[in-house]
Amino acid sequence: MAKSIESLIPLSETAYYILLSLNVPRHGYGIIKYVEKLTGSRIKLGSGTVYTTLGKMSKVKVISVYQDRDRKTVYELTVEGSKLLELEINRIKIVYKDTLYQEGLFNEQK
Amino acid sequence: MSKNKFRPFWSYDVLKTQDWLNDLSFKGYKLIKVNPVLRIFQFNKSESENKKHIINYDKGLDGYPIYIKDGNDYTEICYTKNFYFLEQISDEPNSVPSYNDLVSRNRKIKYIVGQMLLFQIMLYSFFILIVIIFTLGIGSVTVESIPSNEVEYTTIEIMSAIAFILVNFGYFIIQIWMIYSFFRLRVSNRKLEVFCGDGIDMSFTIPKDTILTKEEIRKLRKEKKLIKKTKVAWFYSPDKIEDWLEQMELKGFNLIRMSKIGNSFYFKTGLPRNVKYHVDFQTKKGANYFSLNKESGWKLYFTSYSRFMAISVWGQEYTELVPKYYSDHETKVKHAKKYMWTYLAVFLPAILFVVLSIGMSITLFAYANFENISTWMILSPLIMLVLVVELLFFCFKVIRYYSRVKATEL
Repeated sequence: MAKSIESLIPLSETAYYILLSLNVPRHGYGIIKYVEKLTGSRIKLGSGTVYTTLGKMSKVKVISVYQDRDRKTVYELTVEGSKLLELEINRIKIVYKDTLYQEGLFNEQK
Repeated sequence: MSKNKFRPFWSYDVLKTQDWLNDLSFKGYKLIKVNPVLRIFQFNKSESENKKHIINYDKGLDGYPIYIKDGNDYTEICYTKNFYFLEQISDEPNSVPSYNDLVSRNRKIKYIVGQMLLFQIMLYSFFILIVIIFTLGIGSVTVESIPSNEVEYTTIEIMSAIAFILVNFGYFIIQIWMIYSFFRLRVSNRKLEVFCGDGIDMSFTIPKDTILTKEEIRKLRKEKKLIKKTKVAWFYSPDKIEDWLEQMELKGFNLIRMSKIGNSFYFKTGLPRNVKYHVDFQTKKGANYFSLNKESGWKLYFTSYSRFMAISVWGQEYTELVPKYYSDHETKVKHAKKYMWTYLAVFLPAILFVVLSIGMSITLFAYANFENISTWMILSPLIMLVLVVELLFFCFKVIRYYSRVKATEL
C-alpha cells in the first residue's frame, strides 16, 4: 500500500458515504440507491463519480472487488477500509460534538 | 516426496495454468509453493484428487483477498507477490474472483511489447525501403566478399565476431519472445474478458438496436427523417459537443447513433426532448463500467475500442431534475484534467519533434547552394509549420476545456 490510511482523512462526502454504505457488500448501483435512501434523497451520486471513487479506493486496498454468482461486480470493505471508516466516524463524532457546543454558545448570545 | 516443475510463462495464460494444476492434482501432485522469480512450482506426491484451482492477480495485495473469508468456497494454497493460488471447494461459490486486475496487467504488458515490436517493424521496413531506393536509384546493390583464405584474422577480430553473433542471437531470441508474449497474451486476455463478463456484456456497448442498414439510412434521408452531421476534431472540446447535442435534442433532432470513429452524428427528426449528454474518458473500461452507467439510466451512444482514445458518449433523458454524471466537483475536475493530459502527452512531444525538424531544415538552408534548392526544401518546413500550428491549436482547445470545467460550478 502506497499511502497510510491516515493520510486519506478527511474523506470527501462522496467517499465517506460510499464507505458508509458498504456495511454489506454491494454492487455499484446498489451503493447509489442505498446512499439515496440513507440521506433521504439529499445525495444522489452520479455513476461517474461512483465508478472513479471505487476505482481509487480499490487501488489503495480500502475496498476489495470480486464478482457474485451472476458475475456482477461486488465491492466489500477490507480490514483497512473498516479501520479507515472507524477513524473517520470518530473524527465526525468529535466535529459533531464541537458543533453542538459552539451552536449552544451562539444561541446564548442571541 | 516433493517434485519441482518449471513453467516459465505460467502467468501469461492463467486459465491454462489452472487446468494444468487441476491435471497434476488428478495425477497425484499437490501444489505446495510457487517461486515467482524462478517460475518453479513445488508439488508433494499425494493421492489423486479432483481439485479445482483458482489463480488470480490483485495488484498490491500481499496475502489473500477478502471474498474467501468464509472458508466454505475456497481454501488457500499459497500466495506470491500480487498473485494468489486457491482451491475451490464448493461447486457453486457465492463469490468468484474478478479478473479485471489481471486483464489490465496483461494489457499493459501486451501494449509495451506491442510498441517495441512496432518499432522493430518500422526499423526493418525503413531498412528495406532504403535498399529499394538505392536499387532503384543506382540500379544495383553489390555486396563484395573477399575470399577468406587470403585474409588472416587477428584474435580480437575473431573475438568480436563471436560477440557480434552472440549479441545478435540474443536479440533474435528476445524478438521471438516478444512475438510469443504478444500473441499469447492476446489469446489469454480474450478468454479472461469472457470470464470478466466483458465479452458477454460488451454486446450492449455497441448500440445494435439503433444500427440501420445503408438502404434504411438512404430511405430515411430521402424522406428527411434522418440527418447526418459531421464534426471535425470535436474531441478537444467535449463540453461544447455536449451542449450542441443537448441543443439539437431541444430542436427535435434525436441522436440515434454515432459513426465508428465518432466524428459523425445521426439524428432522427422527432419530438423535442430534454437530454443530458456526457462525454466520458475512461482507460480502464470494464464490464462494470457499462453496467453501472446503464443501471443509472445512461444510454450509450458511442464507445471507442482503442485504449488511448477511450471515449464514450452517454446520454440520459430527463423531465425535471438534470441527471449528473459526476455528482461532485472534485471528480469532475479530475476527469477533465486526465482528459487534457492524455492529449497533451501526445501532442507536446509531437510539437517538439516537428519544431526540431523545422530547425534542421532551416540549418540545411544555410549550407545549400542557391542553385540547387528544390521546391521540397522550401515546402517541407512550411508544411511542418502548419502542422505545428494545428497541434498547438488542439492543445489550446483542450486546455481551454479543462479551465472551463474548473471554473464552472457543478
